[in-house]
Amino acid sequence: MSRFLFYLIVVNMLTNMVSITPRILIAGSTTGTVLSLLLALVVGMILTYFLINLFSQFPGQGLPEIIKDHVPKGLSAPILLFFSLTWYFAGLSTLVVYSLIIFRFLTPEMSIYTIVLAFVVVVTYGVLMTSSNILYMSEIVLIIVFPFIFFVQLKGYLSSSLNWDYVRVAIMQINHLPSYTSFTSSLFIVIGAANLIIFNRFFTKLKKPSRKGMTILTLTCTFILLTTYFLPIGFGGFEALNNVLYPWIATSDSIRMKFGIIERIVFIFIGAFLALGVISMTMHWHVSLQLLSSVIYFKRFKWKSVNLTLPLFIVFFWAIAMYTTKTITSNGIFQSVQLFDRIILPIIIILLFVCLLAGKKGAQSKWPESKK
Amino acid sequence: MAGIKKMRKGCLLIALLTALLLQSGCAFKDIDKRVFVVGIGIDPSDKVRNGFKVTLKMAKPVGNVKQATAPVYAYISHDSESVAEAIRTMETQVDKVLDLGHNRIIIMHRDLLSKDLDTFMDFFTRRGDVQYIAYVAVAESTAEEAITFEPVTETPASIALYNYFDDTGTESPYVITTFLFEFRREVLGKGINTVMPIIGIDKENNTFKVDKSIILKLGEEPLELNSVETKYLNSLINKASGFSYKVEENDMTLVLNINEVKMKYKIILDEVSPRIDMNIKKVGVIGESDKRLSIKHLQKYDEIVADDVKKKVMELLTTLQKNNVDPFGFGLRYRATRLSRKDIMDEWDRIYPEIEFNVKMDIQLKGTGAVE
Repeated sequence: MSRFLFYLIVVNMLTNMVSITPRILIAGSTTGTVLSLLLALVVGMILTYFLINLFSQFPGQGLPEIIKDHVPKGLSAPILLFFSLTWYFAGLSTLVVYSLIIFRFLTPEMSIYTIVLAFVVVVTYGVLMTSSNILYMSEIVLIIVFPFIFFVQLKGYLSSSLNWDYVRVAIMQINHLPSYTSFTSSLFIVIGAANLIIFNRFFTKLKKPSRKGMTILTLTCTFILLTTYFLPIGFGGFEALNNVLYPWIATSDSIRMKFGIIERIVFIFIGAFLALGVISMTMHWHVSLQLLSSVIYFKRFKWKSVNLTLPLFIVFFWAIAMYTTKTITSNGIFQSVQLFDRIILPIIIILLFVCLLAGKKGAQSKWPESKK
Repeated sequence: MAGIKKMRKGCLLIALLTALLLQSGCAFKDIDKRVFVVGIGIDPSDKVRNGFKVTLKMAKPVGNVKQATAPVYAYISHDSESVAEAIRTMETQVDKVLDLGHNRIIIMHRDLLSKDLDTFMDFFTRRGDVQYIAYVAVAESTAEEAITFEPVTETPASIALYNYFDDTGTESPYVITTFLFEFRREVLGKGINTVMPIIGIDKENNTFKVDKSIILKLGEEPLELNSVETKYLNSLINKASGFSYKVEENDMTLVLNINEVKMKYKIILDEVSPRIDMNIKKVGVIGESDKRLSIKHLQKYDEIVADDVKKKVMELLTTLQKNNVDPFGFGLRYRATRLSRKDIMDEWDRIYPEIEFNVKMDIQLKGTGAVE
């Protein structure tokens, strides 16, 4: 399995550790989150396997190319638009959550516009790069950031302030049936392979997932998913965590580096996750932009030799991002992410599989003709 | 073409470098425009009914620490109906921004403990910039006195109170450390009662005296532990080392230094009467003796000490049980080892007053110190 594929999945997973997902999981802690986590892990891994498997049959092709010839245009255009919107929303929710976190914890006196602008400028630069460059960038950032995040988690697990009894109380909720919301939210964490929808253009020699690759992936996913849920509970308590907006920020604030450069680890922690957030946003918006431009492209909208379609879209991206971040409340983003996970995510997954299978069938029926 | 490309790159570089000028540091408020709060004290107010008197200890910025001979702190206090209001009003009393991000200690008055703790502690966890690894403590007299007191050992640019609790300065089994996040999770959760240190002032020596502790009971009078009980409790729940113990046997007086403590317990219900099996292991050396000791008789001393220490631990456990407080978190463990049920904590509330303790003490003396 290509290591870049791995990055796609891991970046998505790690970014969600800090955002809304842990709060959704903790909100359902007495109504079946534990079983949902396990179920989501199994289902997520199976889906990932089949996704990679299907995409590997279209080397170097994104979804727009795959369904172009086999699905009527009247149908494919709305599907691609829908995907584009959902991926835009995924990036937007990251942007909103991270902006709110910066505003609350790092720079309370800064204008929210400045924060969003700082993000958006960097992300825009990233979005306009080619898919391969984004993957290279994600590799560099992950190599820098991942050891640190892992260190913080390890520090958390070894801390004497971590009360394992709270974790065990959380595990003992296993006798509740899995809840749908927790299930889809945790599924969102592990389903990063869906980014292949565009990034498959990069993978010209994508092989079927190997056993070794899937094992490593499953272990990583299990570790990160369980850490996402259980470590905050060990530090923040079982009931007491219910009204915490950003459980992971609270957790990293509870981990103390006695002899570290600074005692309060939370700032470095936020910094590391901001870098990851930028990568994740870049990936999502890159996918969104590519899908959008595969449907709507103004060939004659030009200035000198530069086509202005993409810049136009990006202006829209900025405007919506600015407006949303300014107006949305922290409960609003919580509700909308929950809604996204509950309703839109299953639709995405089903639609994606339908498209891929249609493409595969179309390709198979076409082969004999083209061979003649 | 190459020239244009070079020029573009140059322009981009200049633009990026100019952007650096906008980074004015400290989130647009310079360090000389901030005053750092390094301690917060909360007392019940005499002037405002049901109000609080908030006292702040602030570090005054000085140009050079070496020139300052005395500690450089300023103190202000204000009475108001809520903590947040008091701090807001105090912002009008100082010319700089009050920065709570560096505060490491919150001291409260004892009378506030039996009140609704949420009303004033809420402020600290809600703000986001107050550290979760701040220490919480109780003042023996008033919080104002504890905050404003400057002991003889306090040097410029250091805060004596921090050194008691942060495990890098003095380390003593009499000093219990409670962090804000522990306080929060235990007050808002069920199954464990918070222990907090009591900060007293020794007027004669002009020093602090931190050797007692207090156990919170929500909505009720807290239970105060004397210094011996505190020592035992701390050595068991926090594995505090440096525990010293005096044995008197056959006109021989020994003082032991215990430096390793292990404690495990199990709640057993299946037999006739519910009981808690507790295994304690302490490893140490003999620190002082008024007779010449023989290394061969170490085992005899082990037994003598074990019997004695066991008696003390039993006394502590029954005192806690009689007062219906649970700083060990037996209730939490009970909950953590059973599948979740609706009224599991009510069950425990019925069991705890009648539970029996079965303490097994294992003392291992490794030597007689540097001399026989």
